[in-house]
Amino acid sequence: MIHENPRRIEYWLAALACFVLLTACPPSGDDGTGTPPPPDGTPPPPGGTPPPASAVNVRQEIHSLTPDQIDAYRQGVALMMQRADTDPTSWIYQANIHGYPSSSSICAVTPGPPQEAWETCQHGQFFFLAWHRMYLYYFESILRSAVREATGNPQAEFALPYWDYEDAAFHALPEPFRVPADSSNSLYVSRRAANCNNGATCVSAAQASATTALGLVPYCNCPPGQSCPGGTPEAPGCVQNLFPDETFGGQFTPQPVHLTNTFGELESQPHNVVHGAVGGNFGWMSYVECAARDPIFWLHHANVDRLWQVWLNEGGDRANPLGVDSWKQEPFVFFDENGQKVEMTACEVLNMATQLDYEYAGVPVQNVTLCDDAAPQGVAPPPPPPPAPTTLAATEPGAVELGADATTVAVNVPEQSLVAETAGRLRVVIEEVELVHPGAVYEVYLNLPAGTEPDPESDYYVGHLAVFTGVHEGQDAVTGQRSFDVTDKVEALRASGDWTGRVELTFVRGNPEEATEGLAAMPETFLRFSHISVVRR
Amino acid sequence: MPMKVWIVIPFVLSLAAAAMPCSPERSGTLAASEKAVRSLGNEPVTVAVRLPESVAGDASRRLRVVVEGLELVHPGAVYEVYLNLPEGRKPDPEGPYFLGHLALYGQPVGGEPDGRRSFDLTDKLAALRESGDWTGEVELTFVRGNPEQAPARAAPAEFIRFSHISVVERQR
Repeated sequence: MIHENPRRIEYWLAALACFVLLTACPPSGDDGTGTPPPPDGTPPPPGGTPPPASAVNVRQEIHSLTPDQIDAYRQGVALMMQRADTDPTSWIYQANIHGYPSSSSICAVTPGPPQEAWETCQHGQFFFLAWHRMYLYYFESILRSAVREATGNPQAEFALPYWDYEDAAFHALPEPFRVPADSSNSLYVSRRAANCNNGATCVSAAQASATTALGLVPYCNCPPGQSCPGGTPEAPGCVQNLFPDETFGGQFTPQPVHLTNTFGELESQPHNVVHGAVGGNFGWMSYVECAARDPIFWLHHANVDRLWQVWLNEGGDRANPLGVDSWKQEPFVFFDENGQKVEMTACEVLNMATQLDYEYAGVPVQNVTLCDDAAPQGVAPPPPPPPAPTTLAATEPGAVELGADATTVAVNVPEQSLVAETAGRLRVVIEEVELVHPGAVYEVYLNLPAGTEPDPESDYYVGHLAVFTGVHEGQDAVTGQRSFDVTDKVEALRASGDWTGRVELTFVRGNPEEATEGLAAMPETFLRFSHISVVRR
Repeated sequence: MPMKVWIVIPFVLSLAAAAMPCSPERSGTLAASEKAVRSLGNEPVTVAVRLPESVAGDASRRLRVVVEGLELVHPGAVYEVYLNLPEGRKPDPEGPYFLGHLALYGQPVGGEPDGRRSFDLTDKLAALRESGDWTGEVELTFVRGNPEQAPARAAPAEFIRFSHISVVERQR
């Protein structure tokens, strides 16, 4: 469904406010850089006029740039493209930080050995947004320096534009990137989807939509079956029991990962979708190892970076995961405009205006908490409990003792309970397990036929029961549960006609020992439990 | 004098447990299609899963459909995903059957395919119920959303692979 873009309204309100204040916004007819033209009426130098020393660089929507600004931009890109591939300020070196090809089937292999920081982009997990913000920041610094050098104006202003493809007027690839379609235009790349380079719709309204992502509150999720560190109301952690695309920023990882498929919603759409829409089958944008060679890559990622702030501005408990140390503290390597190696962490890129001296036109920097201002890392609140299991059957509580000999416990499972509800997994639970004497490991079998030799390689084996020992005298015993998923085994029994309506567990000691001379007699009991139950979870 | 007892500290996980650990995500699975190698190329692909009656008939449940075992084979394709698109109906991402997009970005990484893409079904199922078109079956149709116009090279036959779809429940 096509919808109005509320952020456009925000943009015009901000523009109106700027105009009224007569501070940063240009009067009609000037160069759009935020600085009034010289009083004598002479045109500003290429690349615009210098901002005040403390000014924040304003990243503008690409369609807002003046022809002079586009020209200066092209000159800066062309200069970077002329530099040696081993120069960290060159176009290829910067693109290869994202990824580099191992064959020339899509884009040309870079001669020579891989250089430092190449192929370090972060995708498919929760470093995605922070890493790309750092990447863009240093690229922008390098390009600004190149614009100044190429235009001969050491004070020229430059901020990386963004492409707001969600705006109904901007679904086509911006014209400066496709016209003229020849080598005189450093922003043009032939390897794009044909509809993009011919000026037709490149990214449709549906493909461009960030509505779903912006509506999500959690920044990140914990991987299935894992818990994540940290988490307080002031410094949130990642949320359990969610898929990555039920979060804005993606899945927790304890360390950087170049490529995985656990995309957060913003990375799924619009990020992934726009890469495919622009690149098509064989275009550079579709390929991690070639994408950053296409100049439109940087405008796409500037828009994704802008959406991160737009999301924060939506409020309503949206917050960066400042309770997760790995997210905050992991350093990533880049190069500045002098070619000097630098390291940066997510803590250093949270507030684009005060920490990185840029912002997006029409997007105020709000609802940003810095690492130092976040509450110290506390104990994670307990995750929401999974839905309570439904007990289908259970034996009477009592004391079942496990010693050297095999023990069998059985419970009838009403057929009605099995067929009435088939959702969820069937588990058998050994309840209130208590250690009596350490050292025994039991093999557990489901419905082992009489006379059948217990074999942990057989289909009847469901797992082991063993208890780790701790010795604390004078305290009450602590009991626990041990459970096994028997869904597939029960289904197999039913399919083969061997299902008797009973779940029968047989416990066989898996590490029997012969009595050793000189040592104490073999204990009669190693483990005790109360009963078994069958649940559906 | 208190009785001398042993305290049980954590259980040792079974050494070679045949039983898989029950992850929180999986515990909410209500239905799943058969696992198979399913390829997405340039033609539409449809996969369906029938919900248990107790689930299909309960409008209070918040359901989510998951495309499981996703694997990138060739970059560049964007798929539109439709829910219960009627036969003969033209796929339209602005229309009522459109769920969202599926697009992977990266490189074929090998190993066990672990990618997932999920979509909330709440509003769509409510609309199907209201129109009387809800059959209890969740049917996803994948249609390529960025077919190449006059491509210079033949399009790859396969871009994305997945194993099955499942339906999970989320708390309201």
